[in-house]
Parts: sequence; structure tokens; C-alpha cells
Amino acid sequence: MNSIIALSLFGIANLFLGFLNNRKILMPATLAFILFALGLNLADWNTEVLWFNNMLRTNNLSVNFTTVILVATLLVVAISRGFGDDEEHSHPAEYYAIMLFSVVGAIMMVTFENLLMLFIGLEILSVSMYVLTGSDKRNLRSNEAALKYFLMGAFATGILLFGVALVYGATGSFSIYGIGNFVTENRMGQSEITPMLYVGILLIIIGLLFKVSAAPFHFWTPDVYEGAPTIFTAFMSTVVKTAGFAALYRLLSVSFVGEYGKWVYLLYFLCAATLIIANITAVYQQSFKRMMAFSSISHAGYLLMTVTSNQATTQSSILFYSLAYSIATVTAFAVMILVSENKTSNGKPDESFDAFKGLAKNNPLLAFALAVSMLSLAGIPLTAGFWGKFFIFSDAFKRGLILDLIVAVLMSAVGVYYYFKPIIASYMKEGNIQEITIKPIYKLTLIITTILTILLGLMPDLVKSIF
Amino acid sequence: MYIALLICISLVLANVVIGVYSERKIAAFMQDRLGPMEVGKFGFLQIFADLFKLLQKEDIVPALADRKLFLAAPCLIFIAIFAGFAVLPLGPSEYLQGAKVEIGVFYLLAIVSIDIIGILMAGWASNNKYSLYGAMRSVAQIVSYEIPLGLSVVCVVIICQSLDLQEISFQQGIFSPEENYLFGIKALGIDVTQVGGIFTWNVIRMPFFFFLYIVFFIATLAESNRAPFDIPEAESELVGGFHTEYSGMRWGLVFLSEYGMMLLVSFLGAILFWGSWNTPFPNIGFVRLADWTSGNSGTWVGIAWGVFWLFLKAYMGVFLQMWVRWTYPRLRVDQLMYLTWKVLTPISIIFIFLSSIWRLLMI
Amino acid sequence: MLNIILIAFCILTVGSALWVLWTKNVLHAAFALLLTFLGVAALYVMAGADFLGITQILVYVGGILVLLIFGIMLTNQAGNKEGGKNMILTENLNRFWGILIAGGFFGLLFYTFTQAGFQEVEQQHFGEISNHSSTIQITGIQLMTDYVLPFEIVGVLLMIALVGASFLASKNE
Repeated sequence: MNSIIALSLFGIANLFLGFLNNRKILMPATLAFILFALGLNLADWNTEVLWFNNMLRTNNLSVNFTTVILVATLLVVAISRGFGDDEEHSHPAEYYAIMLFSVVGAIMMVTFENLLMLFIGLEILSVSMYVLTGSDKRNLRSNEAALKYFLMGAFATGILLFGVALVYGATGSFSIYGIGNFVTENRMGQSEITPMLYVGILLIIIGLLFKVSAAPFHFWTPDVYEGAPTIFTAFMSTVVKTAGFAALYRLLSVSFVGEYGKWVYLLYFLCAATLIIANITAVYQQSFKRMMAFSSISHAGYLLMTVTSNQATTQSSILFYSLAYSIATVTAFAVMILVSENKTSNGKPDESFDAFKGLAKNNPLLAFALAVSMLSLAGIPLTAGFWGKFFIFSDAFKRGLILDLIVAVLMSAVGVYYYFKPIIASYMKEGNIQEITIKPIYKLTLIITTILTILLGLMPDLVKSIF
Repeated sequence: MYIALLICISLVLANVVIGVYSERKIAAFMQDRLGPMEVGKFGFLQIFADLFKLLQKEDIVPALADRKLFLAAPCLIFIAIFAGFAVLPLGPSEYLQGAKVEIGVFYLLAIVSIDIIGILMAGWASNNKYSLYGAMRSVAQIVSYEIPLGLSVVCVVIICQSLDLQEISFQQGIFSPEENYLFGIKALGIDVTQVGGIFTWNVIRMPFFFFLYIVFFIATLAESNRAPFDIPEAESELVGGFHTEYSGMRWGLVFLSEYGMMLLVSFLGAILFWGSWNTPFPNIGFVRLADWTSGNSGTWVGIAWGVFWLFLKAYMGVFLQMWVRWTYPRLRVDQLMYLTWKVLTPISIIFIFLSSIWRLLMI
Repeated sequence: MLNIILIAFCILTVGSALWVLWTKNVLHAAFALLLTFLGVAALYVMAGADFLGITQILVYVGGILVLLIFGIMLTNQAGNKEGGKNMILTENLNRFWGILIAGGFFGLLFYTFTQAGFQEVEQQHFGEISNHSSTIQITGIQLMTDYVLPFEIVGVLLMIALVGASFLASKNE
């Protein structure tokens, strides 16, 4: 709650900072704001508070999720080079302000106690994403992506809201614990459950799956990820996904856990479908950014698997996976921004795999960071991603989701194929990339993320024990 | 309910007759000329001549117009405006209010906004660039000015704690169910509930309301597309605005709605700010001016006095609108937008703040 | 009497909604939507939610519909001026899938609502619904007490929408 208030105020402060002629101050200020919010958030550790008539709940789980979100935002802001360079066409104050506001929405999605707060948080996050996606106004693809995202997203929100209304009608409560109590009591056989509740749950799940881009609601993802400016793609694929899964998990594990036997089948098959569709399609991509979009869908599939298994360890699995995935994704996009801007084809940044050819020769750091992040995404041992997958698979194994497990293992193998493409391009292919100059903070971010990925890969208990 | 309906419909119809005549006479007076003089004594029958002309005229639909929409648009505009009359209390009697609803003024603001759709429909269906320009300008103007209008109404609602126009009316006179203090400040301790008259009107209960009324008045001028906010029908630029292509009785309907809107907002202004159907004269000692000019609540005399005062106030408002029309030149589009977004809206927000504080002083 | 009015408004709502679907003239569809909104508002009022009904008119008719019509009128319609008429025509595409999906959804909701047992649900969870003549006072008090946080936080949403809209709509310098 404190971080929500602080970030709302900082967003406005950021807009005012935009009036200053000095654009250089914006990024350090934003970083400071986020760090401050992170501090406020961590101060809530081991406290259990319900805010404003059961609207939000602060507890260790919410603090953990908020931390993951804030860390991801911090990393994205740290690599947000470029805003200040193009004096005429960029509006860094607005970008940063909207990012801060959207984090407010994301935090609300992980701390909500009342479905109203979930809806408002989701809307705040989505609306800011629509704007950021279309922020490259001169780029037609960016415009198209924003429009697509907006139309699809608005539709998904409508479906979600309809679901919320039906659930409210069936249970008489907006509070997730209130709904949970109702559902469990009725399982005891006190009164019959109307179909309204089931339709409500179905619509809510559909709405949320839309936002986290699980199949078959993933069609917007590749176009939007490709069209959006890369920095915002990184933001979208980390923060939105984490917040979306946190919301989905809280809702399913608290409110609808009494009906586990019903919704598990839906998620069981959707999870397998997501994994298959995403990984098979990713193999055929030529563009790195598009490949990352499908990779993002496939990770949604893995996360969906642990949500489906609904074990006691699920929350820590989601947290660890989100953290590992966020760090690796931000690193990958950071390298891609540098490389693609350095190498243009037809006046546009080259986002294909070919752009990475020969990267290792003159830029060993970049190539190494890219390799580590790709290995982590693929789930190779000694990286954070391996443990993320490991925890998720063990959750699924405990629940006995055999079909999902088989599909997931197979698709991880497929994943290795396409995640190795950029590594092979940068280490084994010949290319002519000169040494790319990197700003100190950018370099620092890359080093930190790379180290974190390896460290978490070697000692996952560092974080896992906290979650 | 049905009595109020009949009264309102005849009022709106009579109003256009009175309005047109008085507009021409007032314009003539201000420009130091005589106005219509030929037909009847002082040109009094001119209005009937105009009316007959209007009724006889052919109702022309342009060949390339979108026929259905073209025919429907004036009716929609008229219905929207006329629906606004449903919640007006025309006097201190339950028979003189169409619908006794608790959300009266909110309903009024909402239903009147439908008139925008009618204007857009008329402008588009005419298939004429001047009509379309006029409609666009009109809608942009009405939508923008709805904000200061709504905010200024909210100020009054904060003071009165009610959206029901009849309840707001009762509060502002000697029939008030609650106690009224001078300037609304309880700490002063001067109870004016039995004094009544002008001292219990909203403009005195919250003295800053006089300035708020100016904001309200400007906003209502723009809402009813009256000069100096008549760029939607600027004759020198757009021929006739959104109703360029209309003729005959359909044009008459548009005209009817325009005068109906003028009357509606004048009624609203009188009810919200100027004491509604309450007398302006206070009781001073044994000179019971307020009692004498209000009658007893619920009797025929009381109702007659109430109706008299309300109509007097409303037509003062209409007169003010005509006065402004013949005094000020037309605004440019950018000035118009500047006025609403950068002047009136901030001012009305400040007034909301002031009213909230004032309300705390009142209890 | 009330039943007849109710049925009349239902017919108005559904009929105008069908008109929105079937007409090929986009603007006719937009204006038919006006009737749908009004019908829905009337149904709200008849269900005892007067504040909601008026808000529906204010928001949807006064705001969204105007925006919609402006959007249609201001977008490029080259090729729609056949014979000098300004009609913006569209095709009805994907009828089969459209009808299938809409029909399926309708069937699902219809089944749900017939099975819902609203009176039971009402007694079970919502207690005695007070026979107050208006919902506005309750709504206002609830907004300022129990639901003050969502009410305030919507400000952030509006802020983003405002900043985003002005940012996206501003000219490319």
C-alpha cells in the first residue's frame, strides 16, 4: 500500500520533472523513486495488514511479488537508454511517469483482496501498456500493435468484468476470501451452487489468460511484442506477466480452490496447448524479437502448469520462475537493443538472428550476457532458469499432471533449439560487428543480471528459502 | 404528473411565441429602433403571422440527404430538451412537478446531453458541409461546456445536500424544513428561517454563489448555442449551422427546442441560485412581506404566488440571455475553448472546494 | 401497466440492438445504439437502480456515443460518396462464425440465468434490500467509506488515460 501511494506521487513528480530542460536527470530520478518504493515495500516484511475495508492485503506473499515487479522495473529503467538521445521525438518524462503508474497497477494486482481492486489494477496496467506500445508514433508497426493490443485488451477486460459480476451475483461477495468461504461451504453441501458461479469463473479465467497471453488467447502477443519499442516489450513481458500470474494464482488458490476439480481440466489442457503452440511456432521465427514473443507465451505455459498443480509450493515456484525469467528476458532485450541499433537494415533496426553474427569477437561481454540469458530461458543447468523449471516440474509431478509434464519436457527440448540460435550466431558465425560503446550504468546492469542468473543457478536456496 | 405534462408542453409552445416576439422587440429597443410594427398593435400579431408561415411551408428533404436520419433528427432534439422539463418543479405543489425523483438535477443534465446526438444527426444527414461544420462545432462546444455547467450544479448540490429540485426549492424560503442561518454560517447565530425572502436564497446562503452563477450562466449560454457562443450557427460563416437544410415545421421544431433550452436553463438557474418559487421579500418585524407574498403552503393562493415568482425569475433569465446576445460579439473557436478549459473549469473546481468548506460551516 | 412498459422497453432495447447488427450503414448503427442505450437505462431504472440508469445515459450517450460518431465522421471515407450521398457502408462479414459465437454465448448465459434462482441468491447473500426510493444516498455513502480506495485509485487510471491520450494525439514535431 505504501509503495502504491509513493509510486502514484512519484509518477506525478516525474511529469513535473519533464518541465525541466535537463533530460539527464529523469533516469536517475526514476531509479531513485523505484528504489525508494522498493525500500517501502521491504519495510512491510512480516506484517499482515488489510487496508481500507479489505481492499488490499499486505503480507509476505504480496511483498515478494511486489519485489519481483519492482526489480524487473528497475532493470528495465536502467537499460532505458535512448529516451534522452533523440531530443525531438521522445518524451522521457511521460514514458517514465506512465511506467511508474503502471507499476502501481501491477502492485495492486498482486495485493488485491477485493475483485474491484483487481479490475482497477489490471486496467491501470493495461491502459499504460497500450500507450507505451504505441509510443513510437512514427512507426506504423507500433501504431498497429497499439491498436491491436487495445482492442483485444479492452475485449478481455470486458469478459473479465462480466465474470466478476457473475461471481458476485452467485456468491454475494467481492472479497476473495468471502468468495472462497462461500465456495467451500457449499462444497460441504449446505446449498447448491448455481451455474452462474461456474460461468463467472470461466469468464474470469479467460480474461486473465488473455492478459498473460496463454493459448488460445495469445494471438495478439507476437504482433504487439514485435511492434512495440523494444524497451517496452521487455517491460511488458516481465512486469505484466508476473502481475498477471500473481493475480491468477491468488484468485484460483484462494477463491476458487473449492472448485478445483472443475477448473483444473480447463487449465490442464490449455497449459499443454500453450506449450505446444508457442514452442513449435517459435522454431520457425526469423526475428529475434518475435522469437522472444513466442518464448514469452511458452513461459506462460510453464507458469500455468504450476498454477494448475496448485500445490503448497506453487507460490514460491511462481515467484522464483518469474524472477529468473524476468532477469533473463531483460538481459536478452538489453543486448538486442544494443545490437539491433548498431546494425540497421533498410534504415530500421535489424532484429533478425543474423544481426548477432560475430558478436563475440569484439563484444565478449554482450555475447556472454546473451548466452547466459538464453541458457537460463532454455532451462540449462547452472542457470536460474533450470531451477525455475525444476520447481515447476516437481509441483506438477506431485499433483500428477502427467500429460502436461510430458509435453513440458518435450517442449523444453524444442526450446533449447531456438534459444541456441542467437548463441550460435554470436559465437560461431562470421560477422562484422565493431565494438559497441556501452554506458556505464548499462554495463553495470548487464553484469549484475548475468551474475544474478548464474548465482541463482548455483544457489537457488538464496532466494527460494525467502519465498 | 399529467397536469405538469400538459403545462410544460403548452409552456414550451407558448414560450417560442413569447420568445420570438420579445427577442425582436428587445433587439429593436437595444438598437434604438422599433422592431415589428405592421401586424397588429405594436406588431403583436406578427408572431402569429410567422407561425402560419412556418406551418404552411413545404417540408423539403434534400435529394441526397440521408432521409431517415434527416427526418428524425429535429424530433430527437426536441424530445431531449422537453424531457428535461420532467423534473422541474413549477411551483410549491406536487402536481406541478412531472416526476418526483431524488436524482432530479442529475437526470436533467444527462437527458439534455442527448440533444448533442440529435444535432450531430441533423448535421450529418443534411449532407451539406456547412451543416456538418455547424454540428461539429456545436457538439464540441456543448461537450466542453457541460463540464463547468455540471461542476457549478455540483456546488449547489453540496450546499443543499439534495439532487431533488423540489427539495432544493423548499430549502430556500420560509417553508424550509431545516433552519437557515444568515450567510449559511451557523456560528453567526442569526436564524433567518422565518425571515425568508432573499435572505434564504442560495445566493445569500452561500454568498460566493453570485460569482458561481456567472459561470453557470456563461455555460448555459454555450449549452443553448446562444450568442456570443453561436459559432455553430454563425450566419456569416455557416449560413445557418446544423439546421441549414431544414424548412417548414421541422425547422420550427429546431427553433422550438432552442427556445425551450433557453427557458429550461433559466428555470434551472432560478431554482438553483435565485430562490426557486420563493418570494424575494423578507419578513421584517411585523411587516410580514414574505408571508403576504407567499400565501399558505399547499393552498391555491400559495401555489399561484409560487408559480408567479418562478416564472418571473425564469423570464428574467431569458431576458438576460437576450440582453447578452445583443451586447457581445461572437467568440472565436479557440477563444471559446480557452474560456471553458482554462478559465471556467478551474474556477468551478475552486468553487467546489469553497462550497465544501461552506457546507461545514452550515452544520 | 408496468409490465407493458417493461416489455416495451425490452423490445426497444433488443430491436435497436438487432438494427445495429443488420444495418449496413455505420452511422445508422451508431444512432440505433442510442436507442439501445436508452432502453438499457430504462431497464435499469425499472429494476430500481435509478442512479445507474442516469449514469448510463450520461456516460454512454453523452460521452461514448458522441466519441463514436465523431470517430466515424472524421475518419477517412474515400469511396463512400457514391452518387453524392454520404453513406458509410460496410459489409456483413463472417456471418456464420459471428452468429455461432454470439448464439453460443447467448445460450450459455440464458441457461445460467434460468438456473440462477435469483430470489434464492438474493435472500441468501444480500439480505433485505431496503425499499428506499433512490439508491443515490447509499451509493454516495458507500463510495466515500467502504469503497474509498477504488474511488481514489481510479484517479491514477484517469491520469494515465489523460497523459496517454494527449501524448499519442499530439503532433509529431
